[in-house]
Amino acid sequence: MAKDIYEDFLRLTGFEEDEMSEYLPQWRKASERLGLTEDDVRFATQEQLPTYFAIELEGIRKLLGCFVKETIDLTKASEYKERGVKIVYGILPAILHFYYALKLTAPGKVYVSFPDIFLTLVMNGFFHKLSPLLEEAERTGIPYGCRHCALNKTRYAARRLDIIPSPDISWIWGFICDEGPKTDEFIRIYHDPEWKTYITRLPHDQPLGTVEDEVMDRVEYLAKQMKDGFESAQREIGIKVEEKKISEVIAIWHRYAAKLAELALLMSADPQPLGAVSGRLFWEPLFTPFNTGIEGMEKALDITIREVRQRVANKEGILPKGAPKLLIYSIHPSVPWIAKVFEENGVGIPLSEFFILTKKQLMPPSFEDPYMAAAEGWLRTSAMVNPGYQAEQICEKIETHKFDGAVFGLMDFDRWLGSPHRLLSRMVEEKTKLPVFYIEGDNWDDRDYSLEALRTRIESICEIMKMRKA
Amino acid sequence: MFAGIDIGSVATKAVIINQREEILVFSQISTSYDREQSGADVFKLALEKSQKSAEDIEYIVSTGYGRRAFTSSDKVLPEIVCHARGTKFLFPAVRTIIDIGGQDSKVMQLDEQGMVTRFEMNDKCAAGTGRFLEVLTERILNLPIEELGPLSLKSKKPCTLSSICTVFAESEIISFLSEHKAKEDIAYGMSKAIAKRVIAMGVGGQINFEELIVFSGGVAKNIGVVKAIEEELGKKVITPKQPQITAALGAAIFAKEQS
Repeated sequence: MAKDIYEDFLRLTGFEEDEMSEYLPQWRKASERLGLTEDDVRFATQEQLPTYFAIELEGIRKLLGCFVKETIDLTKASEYKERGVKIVYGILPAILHFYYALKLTAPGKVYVSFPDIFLTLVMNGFFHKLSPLLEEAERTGIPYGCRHCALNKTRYAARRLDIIPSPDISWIWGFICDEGPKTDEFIRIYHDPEWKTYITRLPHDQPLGTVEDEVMDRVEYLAKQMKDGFESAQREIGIKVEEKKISEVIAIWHRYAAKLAELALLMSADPQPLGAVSGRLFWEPLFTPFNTGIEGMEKALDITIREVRQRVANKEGILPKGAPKLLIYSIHPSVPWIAKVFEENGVGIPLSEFFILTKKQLMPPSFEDPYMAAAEGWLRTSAMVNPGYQAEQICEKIETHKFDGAVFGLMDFDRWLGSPHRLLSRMVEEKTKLPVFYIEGDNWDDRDYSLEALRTRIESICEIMKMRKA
Repeated sequence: MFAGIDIGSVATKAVIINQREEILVFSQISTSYDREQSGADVFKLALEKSQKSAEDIEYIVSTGYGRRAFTSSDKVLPEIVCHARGTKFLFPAVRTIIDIGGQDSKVMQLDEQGMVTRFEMNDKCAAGTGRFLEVLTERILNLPIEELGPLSLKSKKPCTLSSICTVFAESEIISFLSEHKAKEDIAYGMSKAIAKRVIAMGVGGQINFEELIVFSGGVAKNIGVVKAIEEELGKKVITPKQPQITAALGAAIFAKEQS
């Protein structure tokens, strides 16, 4: 009997034997809907996942499994809609508390997802097959090379190809980039008139270096915007959420974030115990809502922390002890080979700046009002909006995790995300006196930046770091 | 003795040094489609010129675009660090390196110790590199590449190329020729286009072109481009006597340190 690669894939991604009968047919159906062939599943099972993820760890296999379950769920969104389940989308960065609060209030009546980020991570990170979606978007209105990033193209293409249904509401955020909201307008005008959008924006109008979470007007303004947005979303889908549900979510968020902080400390041990890509996926539920919930992710995280703690105790590492360690702005498992090239050349990039939290971010909120608490939480990040404040936070992270330098860039797909990087790199270099590098590239879509194109840059950074450390 | 092999996209170079870091030989050949063979051939040539055998070489470091293809090396290093080491050896006061080779261009900033602190490379496109000059000179101007530099120095009213894309620049040059513009003015216009491109790349990477500035790579043989870079920067630029030696030399010095 021919080997069932779909079954092997599920086994590799942490599914238990007693889950097979339920999930195997669903996974086959989901693969078909996503345009994944048997060869694609074989490639993921035999090459991509074993190459880039620490599949020898049970926690990592379970982590991958959570992504597979969420992927299966995503492909069932149209069925949910037909059954009357309300569909709510968003884009990152957003405040997830509200999406999770919807699920906590009416778990069977609402479906929440950021389909673009999810598909990008899974289709490229697991199968290296995002291109058909990107090309579909490029063929039908979002041209190649324009400033719409892979996420926007993926969201549009996923709708065009009927992978996802029209949302009852796409509550979309212009926290950093306005191309997301513009793409939603584009989808509604040119493809799907039923694609409803509500936009929450935050202007980038604070002086460089302002500690925005301490500016009360700012916190109040954002809290009001969030409240307006959430009330609109609730009205649109007819589900009323009590404020205490948001507070419950904030408590869960902080619990999960505290565990991530422990994983971050473990990952920055010397020798580095776990590859950057493997660990990085654990941060996703803080930035992308999981319709299937975060319980599975939390269990996988607990197992991984235990396993990595053991590696640290045994002084086991993926790199030699004393290897240079760089803080990278953001490593995306959608293009996993970037981290791998660093690691193969003896330099660790264990943690992404964007995802690890400062001491202040880990502190409980100063406000009981859930909107004020959520607004304060976002403003504490300062991410990509206020480089002066962000540089201070990056320096704290470098100090906390004892990095030898930093790498910025790989965000050239987006003028909002990419433009502050040169400024940030200069500020961080001046403050820390450590080497700070910049790599031009796109960490969602590697069609323009092949391994060979970036190899010399990454290898050069690694050699320079090794020489400096020596 | 120690060898450095630099397998570039157009030329493959080898340097052999002794224990006292004296350069015994520098050899250079054109890179063929078989990069491993190119590495082997230039190494053989260097051994013949220095009347040594492979057994005399204690350690080999390969670098350059084809560095991984050369399987006889003991270590592989990226060309950025090799250029820095080789150039620092030749010019101890160097703080900025501009290297323009066959299909890539780089700008590196060094600290006082010769450590690279910033670098930029061209990406995705060979505009503004040796290939750009080669295609436009030999195919459109009908000149041997060696004549381009001296010719461009005669320019009195350089043409302005609005694009450094090789294909679009080709169209522009054809237009200039049809307008009977002087070849020397077109030649210097090409030099200025390359200079502007490489300087903009460095400035974009926050490199401030601190002196001493060394210009290396095959394009550094073109005195028109040297002049154009000096004009654009308003600073003096130095070129090694053998502009293509630096990465292979740096690799050889690393080979000695590694052995």
